[in-house]
Amino acid sequence: MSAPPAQSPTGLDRLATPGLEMSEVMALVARIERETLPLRTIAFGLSANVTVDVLETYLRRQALLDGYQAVVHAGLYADHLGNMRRFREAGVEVVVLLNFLDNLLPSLEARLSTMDDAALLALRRKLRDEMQLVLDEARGTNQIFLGLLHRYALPSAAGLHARVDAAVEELNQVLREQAGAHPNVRLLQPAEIVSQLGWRRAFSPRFYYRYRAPYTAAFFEELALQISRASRAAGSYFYKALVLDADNTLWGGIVGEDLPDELKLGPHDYPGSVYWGAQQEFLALQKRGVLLCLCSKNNAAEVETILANHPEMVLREQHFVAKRVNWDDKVTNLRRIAADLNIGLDAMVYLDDSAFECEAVRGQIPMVRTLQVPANVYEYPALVQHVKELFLAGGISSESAAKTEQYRLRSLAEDERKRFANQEEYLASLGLSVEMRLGEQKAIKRIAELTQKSNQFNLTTRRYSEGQIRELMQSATAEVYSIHVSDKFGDSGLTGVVILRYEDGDVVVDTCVLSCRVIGRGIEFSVWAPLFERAAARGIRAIRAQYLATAKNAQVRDFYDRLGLPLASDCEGQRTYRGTLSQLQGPTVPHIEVVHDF
Amino acid sequence: MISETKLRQVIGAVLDVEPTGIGPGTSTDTVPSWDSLKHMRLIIALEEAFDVTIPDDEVVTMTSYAIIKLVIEEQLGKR
Repeated sequence: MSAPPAQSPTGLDRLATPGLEMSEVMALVARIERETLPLRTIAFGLSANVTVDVLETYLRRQALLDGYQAVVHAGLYADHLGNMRRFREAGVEVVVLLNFLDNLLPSLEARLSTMDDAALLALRRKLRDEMQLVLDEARGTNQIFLGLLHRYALPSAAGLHARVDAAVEELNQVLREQAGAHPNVRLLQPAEIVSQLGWRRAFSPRFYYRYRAPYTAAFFEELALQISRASRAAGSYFYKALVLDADNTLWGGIVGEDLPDELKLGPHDYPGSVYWGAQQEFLALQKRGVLLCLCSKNNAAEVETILANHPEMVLREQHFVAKRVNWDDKVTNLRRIAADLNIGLDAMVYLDDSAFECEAVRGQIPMVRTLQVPANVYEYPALVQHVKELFLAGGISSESAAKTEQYRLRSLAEDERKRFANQEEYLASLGLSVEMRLGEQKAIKRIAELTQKSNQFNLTTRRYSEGQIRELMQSATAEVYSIHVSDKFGDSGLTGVVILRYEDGDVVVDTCVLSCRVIGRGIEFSVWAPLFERAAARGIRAIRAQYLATAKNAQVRDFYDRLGLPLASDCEGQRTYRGTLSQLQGPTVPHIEVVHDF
Repeated sequence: MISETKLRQVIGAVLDVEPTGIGPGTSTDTVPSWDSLKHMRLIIALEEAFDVTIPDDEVVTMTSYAIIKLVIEEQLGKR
């Protein structure tokens, strides 16, 4: 790494540097998480139809900068519904749900310009139905960040892409409606980050086409900032008190040095107008329940006089719940205020114009969120906006929060049934079809490739070359099945492989592999009925199968259990199953049409 | 020649293993966390750290410490 190593003992100030090399960010994040005191943690879940794995690093980075630790659960690729279920089981509090337009269907952007109205309508319906199911599934989640869709293609002269832009807007309307119907959903605007950074810095065409990973680290750095800032206000993290310094924070000038009428404060003239506007914002926060406190190194009587008598003061005596105006150090005073109000130091946001004071507070009580009023007065309003966001960003009013609670408390049984019916209907509406082919010679290359590349949905992780697949196909004691999946939106192609061997009168599942593109729709269960039937017809009595654990296939650990095979042994990452075929029935999956050539 | 210390640091940071444990024997076969996602990150990190652009067809071949070192040196040598 070309950058020098972190200077401060914690490394936090180094980590705060924008645009650090990713490897340095990763190393710093790992070290700081290991070495700092236990911080409060927030569990995030990432679910996307593209690879957004790098966002994990930047969420953890941003969390440390904001004073907490993010525990990030990466969802499976393009399985939103399954991810929501897994996130719930894992105790995820904040979900980030991203849909990349161009990958909703293969090369969707290129196709949008030629799609007819009926196809566009079908696409909107699919998105609506899927999002509704997914958001229903996640309605117990504290907060969901749903990314709006945006173009991947470079913007061109106005009007050239009008049809595509209109289609994207209509799809976004669907997302907005869904967000409106689910009180725990807040929309993210990735397009804003793209325009802020510029296309070249936001996207990586190489990794998009090779790994389905369209976004750069620079993009994720910004996205993590958006998410982290908004998520704390939304219930995962509550600030309760805003502690304000007085001089050069509530007004311009210094009480002990300037005469009261020399203080800069008032609606009309710069810079007094900036402070006056800031006070208006603080008052608005107070009206929404934020506890305002004053913490100033001054003579108490002088500050009291200004609060009572200054004609342009917006904030008055009665707006502050706690005041510490004296010559003691700020750390002591902040501790006293926390004790007075019986709140934690980590529930306080502290605003001061002095770099010295801010450093002292950050150094001794880092739990307090300390913000320095900028030296340039015209930059102050932006900081005030940030303060507002800390308290309000979730955009969740108390009413909608209560609604979330109602959702949670609602009797489950009735709902679960309804939701299940919805899910079945949704899956049925996809028109899923599975075609199984035995010994498909022209697909040998693709079959070998699937055994070599698939890691997650891979029960035994046996890697086969093309030559070996050809041999297996020719063998009298083995069978290679290829699985083709399609739905009404198109053909996903050859996305699964099952290899069976016949040994000692049993049929043995040597390999079972499915591409992550098609997981989560029941396909993995739909293929077994024909296989069981065929084996039984050959006079085979029993089926044997194995799960061999690797670093990457934990998600299928209980797959054969769910398929209904009896567990025979389980030791050291190896689970074996044996079932009598006459007692087994392959599951029927009503929403999938299965056809085969054997 | 590139700095192997730096190379170990970058690989170690991305794969979350001790840099001192990384050497000629390190490959996708010996590091369980080195999956395709981590591999993508590794390419990004290496390009940043050594200021090179790794050719697309080399991206998939760089599955061991030795090959990574070779490819980066080759790219640096072209300048």
